[in-house]
Amino acid sequence: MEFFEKRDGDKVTYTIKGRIDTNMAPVLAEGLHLVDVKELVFDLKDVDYVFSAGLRVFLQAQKIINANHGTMKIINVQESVRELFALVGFDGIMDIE
Amino acid sequence: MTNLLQKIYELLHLEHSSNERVFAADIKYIDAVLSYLEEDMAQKNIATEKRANIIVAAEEIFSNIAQYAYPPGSGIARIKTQIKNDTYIVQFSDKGTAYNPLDKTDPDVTKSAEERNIGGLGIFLVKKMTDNVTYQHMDGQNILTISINL
Repeated sequence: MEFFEKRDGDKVTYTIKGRIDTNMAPVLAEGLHLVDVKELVFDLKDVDYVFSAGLRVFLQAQKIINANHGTMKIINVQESVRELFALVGFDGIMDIE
Repeated sequence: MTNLLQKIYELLHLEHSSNERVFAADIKYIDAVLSYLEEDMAQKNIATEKRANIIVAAEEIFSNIAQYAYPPGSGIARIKTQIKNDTYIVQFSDKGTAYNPLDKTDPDVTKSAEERNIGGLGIFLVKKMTDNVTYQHMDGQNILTISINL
């Protein structure tokens, strides 16, 4: 897994490539800089698997963004990943496109 | 006749055959574990969408063994697969601390982000992704068995 950050003022897009597994989730969590971010976007076009450790990172990010009174959006989600998000109820608490 | 008998034996053998592989209980082997299962399922012609369910469940189970079953840097995880009665069965066993993950209460997935706990999603996912999960503690081993209907 690797990811890219594009920052424009208080708007940040993280484009992630690869699997977000138990090894990589902490790397992602550590790499996110969400202080003062108001508009957060995760682009998951190139993510074929998110495992439970990865799910935790998205939940944590949503909590931080809510506390910042900002918005978080997850875009280009592959079908299998979308199903996984739905299984754990993330479709109810996150904006998943 | 001999040919027929041989065929029957082959079929019987197939029905009872299982693959088993042993990995060091270390999270750095997670890719090797998942590749092994992906190859095994491809060989057994299991439908792609069902393979994904097993992969998600297996990632969680092996990670748990690697992170919590043994003191760091020790121990093994044994992974056995087989097809039986139209189900694909994967059995994980370790000789680490006795622990039944199925005892954990399922998280409430209808709560708001603020109310939700960061943890507890893993074993819940395992249950959701498979058709059956059982835990046994036998001969000093944790045995967690997952299966999907084919």
